Amino acid sequence: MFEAMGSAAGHLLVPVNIAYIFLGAFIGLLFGILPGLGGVIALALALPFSFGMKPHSAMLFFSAVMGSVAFGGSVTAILLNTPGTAQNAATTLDGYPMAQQGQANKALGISATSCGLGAIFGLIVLILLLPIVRRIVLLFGPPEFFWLIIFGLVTVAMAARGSFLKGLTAGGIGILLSLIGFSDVFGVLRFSFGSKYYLWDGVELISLVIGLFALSEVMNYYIKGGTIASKEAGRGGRVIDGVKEVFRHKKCFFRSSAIGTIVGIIPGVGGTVANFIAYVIAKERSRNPETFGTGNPEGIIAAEASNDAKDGGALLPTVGFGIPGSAECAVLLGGFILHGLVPGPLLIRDHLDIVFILIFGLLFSNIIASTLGLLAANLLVKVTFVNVRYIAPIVVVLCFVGAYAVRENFWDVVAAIFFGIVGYGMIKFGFPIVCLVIGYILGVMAETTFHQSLMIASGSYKIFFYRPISLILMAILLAIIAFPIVRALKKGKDNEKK
Amino acid sequence: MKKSNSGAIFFNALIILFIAVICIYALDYKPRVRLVPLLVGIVSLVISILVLINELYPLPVFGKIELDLMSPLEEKEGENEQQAIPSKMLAIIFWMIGFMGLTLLVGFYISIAVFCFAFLKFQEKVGWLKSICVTAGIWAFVYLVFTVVMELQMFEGVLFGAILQKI
Repeated sequence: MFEAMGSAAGHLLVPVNIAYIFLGAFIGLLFGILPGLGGVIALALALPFSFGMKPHSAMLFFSAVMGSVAFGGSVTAILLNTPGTAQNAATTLDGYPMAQQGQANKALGISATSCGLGAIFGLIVLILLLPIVRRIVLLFGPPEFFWLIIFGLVTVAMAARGSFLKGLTAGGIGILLSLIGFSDVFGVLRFSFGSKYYLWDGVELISLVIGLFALSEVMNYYIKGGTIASKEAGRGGRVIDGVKEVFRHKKCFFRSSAIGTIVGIIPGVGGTVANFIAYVIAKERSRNPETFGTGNPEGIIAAEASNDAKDGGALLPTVGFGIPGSAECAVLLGGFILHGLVPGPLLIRDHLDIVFILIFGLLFSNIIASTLGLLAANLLVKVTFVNVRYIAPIVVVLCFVGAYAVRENFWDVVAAIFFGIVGYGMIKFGFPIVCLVIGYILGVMAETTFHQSLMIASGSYKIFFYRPISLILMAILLAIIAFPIVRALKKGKDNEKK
Repeated sequence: MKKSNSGAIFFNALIILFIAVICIYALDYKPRVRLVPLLVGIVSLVISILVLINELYPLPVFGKIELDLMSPLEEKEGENEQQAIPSKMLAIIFWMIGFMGLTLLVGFYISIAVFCFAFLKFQEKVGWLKSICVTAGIWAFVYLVFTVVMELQMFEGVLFGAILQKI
């Protein structure tokens, strides 16, 4: 293991590889910052550029792209309430209010530090767990995946701004939207409403995300007018204060990083669930839960630390089994195959240096992205003080082109506008958009794991209730649902007594 | 206690309608194919009806649960939203649909320039120089990133021979 680590470290000293790390980090940061374009698109576009590279250099390049996207996404989440990637959605909950209060510098400082340190945490755990990777992933079968998805959906509904019931409704709509199109499980086209081509692959995720998050927000802040941050609040808050906040909330950081790593290990679940679970738990464990959603530093720490720590976890099933731990890892698998590498136990046995190259690439790109973010924070926050009359047309253009760019299909632009109007309605009437998007992302997975579980159990529903990990997940889920409701009712009774 | 809002009631009704349509459609499929959509649909339908009832007749029990879970910011935002100017909402929707229509006709490059400039100059009454600079900046950025770097074939507009994909 140490030999492989040394070999990988040797590749890092080659000047051209250092250049690839910087290039990858820059591309990742750029794609993270641009709403609608995330790590998946950045990696997909990076694949053809890597044709001429040696496998080691290509892996460094890929991991650098992958590692820096999350921080890039948090920049727009904090400054524009538009998560650059879906995985930064929870960051908007406290990051944006902090920016509105003129504390954008501080919020970016928290995000950069949490991202960098969270990634280091996840990668250390990955190195420690590499020898036992196989046993961990095998503990999760379809019923456990199903419960984990339900767990993710419910926690998201509880974490999001707005009412719990509206969150659940939005989540349900998200699941229903995800079921539109051709079902791989049953081999039938469902809910296409007469469309035989456009809806064959379902509702395009990028159009949905761009419409719901970006266009709706453009409409929202254009209608309100002025600047994103209130000028009266000033530009107070320094980057260094943000750095200090992370060290001040060590428990929250370590807990969230651990959650991110664990969720990352579960194949396919990814960072979107990780950051919301971490956010909810941070809120529950906080001394000031009522300040969450209004610019609480712990909210940003939880979201960003878990988001970056999950990359280390997600690499475990990817390199250990060839099962992507996240959407980005699915594209990364394409990169492995492109360069003649076969992920799985053989990769760990024969090419452990490649695994360490990925680890080092992620590590350094996170440090580079966070450092760039910290250095450029003062410049980046200026976006929040630009009048929205200038931002609105720019974001609309980027949204339209971004929606079109994915499949070069004009109808995706139409879909983005439709979802933009729906999203504005959701903002206006208090339906959390994030719940709909999470429902959409996890909907098909929930249905697939549900039917896989039934097939394993020959149609018996008991399979969801007797397996140990399923039971643990159910118990945590029930506790998470019951605790705030009981607390709210108790508080109501206390108030009545007073 | 909240006052019932006609916009919120209309939006809730649309949500209920969408879920109901999905549930009705689902009935046409085989039992296994419709199981999850119907399950999710029925649960969502019940919850959305509860939300609508709460909108029409605010119930104290909902208030108790929601107050704790809803952030204070959301309540403030809600208040601001009540004061939103409908004309500005209609204006931005009109501009977005207009931009889309122009793109359909003449493609992205012309429509981006026309939309950005016209929006800034005529909708927002920004000065000539600023309008031209912002338009040129965004146009150059889109060209560099999407055409030069990503080598994307941008939509050229039906008037210039672009073919729309089938629906």
